Amino acid sequence: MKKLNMISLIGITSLALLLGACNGQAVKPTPKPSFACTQPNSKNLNEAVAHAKGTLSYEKCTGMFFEIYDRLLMIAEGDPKVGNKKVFRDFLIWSKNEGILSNKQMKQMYNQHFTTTFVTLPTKYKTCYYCSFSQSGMGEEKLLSNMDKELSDKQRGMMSIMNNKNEYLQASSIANSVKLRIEAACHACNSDDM
Amino acid sequence: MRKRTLPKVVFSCLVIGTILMCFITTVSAETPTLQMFPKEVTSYIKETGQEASSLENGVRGPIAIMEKNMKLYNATGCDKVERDPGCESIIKNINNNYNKMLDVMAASLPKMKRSIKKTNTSLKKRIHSNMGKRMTPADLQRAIGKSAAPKVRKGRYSLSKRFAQYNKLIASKGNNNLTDLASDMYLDSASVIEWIDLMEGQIAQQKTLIEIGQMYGGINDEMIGVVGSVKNVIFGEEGDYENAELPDPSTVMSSEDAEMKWNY
Repeated sequence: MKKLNMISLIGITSLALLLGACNGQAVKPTPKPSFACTQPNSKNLNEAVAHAKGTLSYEKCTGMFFEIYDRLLMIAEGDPKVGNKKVFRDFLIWSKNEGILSNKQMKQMYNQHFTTTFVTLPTKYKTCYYCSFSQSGMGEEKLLSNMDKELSDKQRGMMSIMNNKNEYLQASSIANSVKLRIEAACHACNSDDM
Repeated sequence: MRKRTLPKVVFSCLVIGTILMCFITTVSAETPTLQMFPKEVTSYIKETGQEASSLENGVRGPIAIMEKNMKLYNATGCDKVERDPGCESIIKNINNNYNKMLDVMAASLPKMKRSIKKTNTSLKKRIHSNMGKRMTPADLQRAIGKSAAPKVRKGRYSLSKRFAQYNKLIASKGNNNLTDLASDMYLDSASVIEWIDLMEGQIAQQKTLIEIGQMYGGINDEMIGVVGSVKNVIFGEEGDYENAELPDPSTVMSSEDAEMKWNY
């Protein structure tokens, strides 16, 4: 009797573990042979996001993620409003949960367009390291031009998509400050007598 | 009993101390603040401002006279005629004041350079160690905080006004988190030093040309270039020299005087 109870306990535990594992791992539907990965066409952002999610649910379509994301940005530009920021935030979180993006990618993509944090600023080494082109392969010019590029992404996100001029002006002011600091730090780091 | 409780108290203190240390480190890592202006920098800035002011006062008069005479030279058509006594007198006046300006500059620039170098070197050390060696580029953004950066009106104002403004801004913020101001001042002072080096070379060259008598004979592009550069760097875009009181009115010819000499 005791043996039987032990066997059923092991069986139940294994089944529970198996179910738990299945629950944690999102199983992507197998596409029909005729299914084509398409870009969203709707001019309504919510509808376009729903279409994008439908497409990206198929594993063979996940390679199109960045094209689809850019398409969503274009659609949002057609109807700029502050609420669009949340739509993109939710979409990026969904993409991370689906395993299409890593946590770092999700944060970077969100910050790149919708917050005043500059994700192109390196975090690994101290500033002097990046000022030297021969050491880092980057140099002051590259640091500054990366910031300019990201500022234009923020202009797209904050002005063209969110219609939030104040937030963009704040990002622009931060960019000016950081660029000034980088210029000064690189000038001091690259001085002969240092 | 006491022997047993003492280690417990010491242990508790150590645990609490470690937690507090961790907390302080976390808070300071989130909002790093930098001390960019020690007392010696503020005194160097003051000194630079005074040197700049004395240089401005020295060249203001000669430049104003030269400018007026240059206008007169063009207005009376001197650029189209040769060997006219009236025009030659204007040219002589321009050249004398140009020479005077070069003399003032040659005497003042080394003092100015010494004082501005002290400001620059002191700021360079701070920026190099605090921003270059201690912070990542991302930290430079994190250190901005929520306070707005002080506005520096570089370029529009004269050197002395700029340095007076720097001094005022440092004092008004109580030496806290003025990283942008320090960066701006450091780059500004570095470019002024470069300009002084360039200017010293040009002055020496111009003085040689005057000594060998090649400068006299008209207004040349080099002369206009030197005066323009002095005006831009020392007086800024607002052109303080135009409102200057002329020290010796007899040295400036009125257009009527020129016309009289023209008809002579």
